[in-house]
Amino acid sequence: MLIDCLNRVLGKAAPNSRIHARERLRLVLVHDRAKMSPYFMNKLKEDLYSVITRYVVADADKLEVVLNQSDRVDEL
Amino acid sequence: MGEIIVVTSGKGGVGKTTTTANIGTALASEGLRVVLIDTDIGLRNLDVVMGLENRIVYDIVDVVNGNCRLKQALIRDKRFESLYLLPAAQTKDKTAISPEDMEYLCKEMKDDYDYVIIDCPAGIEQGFYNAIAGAEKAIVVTTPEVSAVRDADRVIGLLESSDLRNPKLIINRLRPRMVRQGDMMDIEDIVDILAVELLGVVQEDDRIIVSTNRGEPAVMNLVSPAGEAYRRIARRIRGEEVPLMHLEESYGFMGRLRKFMGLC
Repeated sequence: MLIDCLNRVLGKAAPNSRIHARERLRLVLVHDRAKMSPYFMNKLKEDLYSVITRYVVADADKLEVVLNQSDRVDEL
Repeated sequence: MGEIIVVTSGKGGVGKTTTTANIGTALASEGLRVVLIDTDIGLRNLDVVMGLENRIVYDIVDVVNGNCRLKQALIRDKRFESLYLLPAAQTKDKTAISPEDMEYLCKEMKDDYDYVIIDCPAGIEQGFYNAIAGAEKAIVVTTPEVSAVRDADRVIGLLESSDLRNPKLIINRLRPRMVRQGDMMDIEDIVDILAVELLGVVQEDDRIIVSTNRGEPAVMNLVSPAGEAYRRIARRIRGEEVPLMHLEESYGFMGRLRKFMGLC
């Protein structure tokens, strides 16, 4: 708190709101581009899990759904 | 044969009109024949930014409705005789023209000008579809903010699905000092996320406000960093390879003092 104040006086703002901006933007764009809300994204994850566990033994905690974006193309 | 370019952004207030005015003026200052079209019907502003608001007799809706000929509605710039403006109507709304009207107008002008530059309204409703209908290329303007980049991404998607592939990006109002401090997304962040080709970067510049106050595009001002950035963008549009500007910011007295003392 005190250090924050001191930094502000000295012209050094709390660093890296840039990182926040970038990460929030990335997340928002995943949903925008997929035309899918976070709610449906979670539903999709759950459904994928239930389908996969029908055929193989898998652990929900270890299941990772990755949405990749390259050159404006999304891949799941 | 001219090139027809639409300047768009999705979000309002990121500098579409300023960009259109400056690129157009820069191209015309090189002797090229340029026409600027304001398609923001009901909220026209390109006339004011160009300082031509007192010369408007007819507008784009008059042309479309057959109240006048295209040549009668075109306003010649004060400074460059090869630069023209086709103003938007102020009293109508965006439904007063159709995408077909725009296609027709663009085709009419393509042979007479080297560049037809279309200033698109904010938003993604009919005004947007009117503006892009006749265009062959697109420039997307954004600022280094989450909301502006998000809207730019949406617009890039819409442009591509309307067959305007490979739109080029202008990052406007970048503040080099904030980027250095880690408080603003940098060029790489934005280009990475949007995955489109960069056309130029324009830094925040108080002289833009002064130039808008006067109705003289910043490219006329030889000491304005934004003006220099737009002149470079214009050269890139012509196909030249021009390096990005070195981004510097004047600090003011306190800033210089802090810098001198090694505090930032």
